Amino acid sequence: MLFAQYREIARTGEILLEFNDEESLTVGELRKTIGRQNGALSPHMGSALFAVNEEIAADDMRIKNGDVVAAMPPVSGGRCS
Amino acid sequence: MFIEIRNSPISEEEALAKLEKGGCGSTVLFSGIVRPEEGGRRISALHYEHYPGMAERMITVIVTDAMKNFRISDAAVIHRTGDVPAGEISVVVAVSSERRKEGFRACEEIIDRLKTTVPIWKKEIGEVTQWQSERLQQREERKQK
Repeated sequence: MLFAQYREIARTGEILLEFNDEESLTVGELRKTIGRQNGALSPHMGSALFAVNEEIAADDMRIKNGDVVAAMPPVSGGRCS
Repeated sequence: MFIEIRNSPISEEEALAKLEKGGCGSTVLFSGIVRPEEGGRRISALHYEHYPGMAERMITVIVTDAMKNFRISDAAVIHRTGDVPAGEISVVVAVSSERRKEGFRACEEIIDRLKTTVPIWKKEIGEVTQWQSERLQQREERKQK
């Protein structure tokens, strides 16, 4: 799943990626793969947040078959002073 | 506890009305209002987008933590999505507690964590229409050059 500017850049809210070896797939590998396969998203993948099944996920987290993965821009924040 | 993210106008009154206030000596209210200017540029509105499900769940965790850590009685958080015109409310946090000190601290903690961790993004609509995170990223890149 893609949100905000990532969805606009990719012109879709979902992208499908195929892998040969699902067992070894981590969030970090997915980050690199999206960057390689989608040139427009590539400059953004370094700072993207990832969520697996609606939980923030670190790069070393393994992705299993059927997991829902979201690539998200940094949250907007907002200055408090 | 009341948490809602919705694509229609929100008000301070409805957040306060959701609070359980029995035995409380204090209610604290924060409302975030869209400014007419962002990053030195005039804007007419902010467009908010969230990750449905995940955003509500993260706010629930934040409010649960605040209820435990600050011993507040109740809290209501309402966030608006879609286009929010300048001058209108985008988010309201209301907290009831026995004493005001816990209420102030809890309200600040809730809005700070919401703003920095919950998957809600905003796009500035105006002179230049751009996602805010994109503008901030460009600003960082200019600084590094």
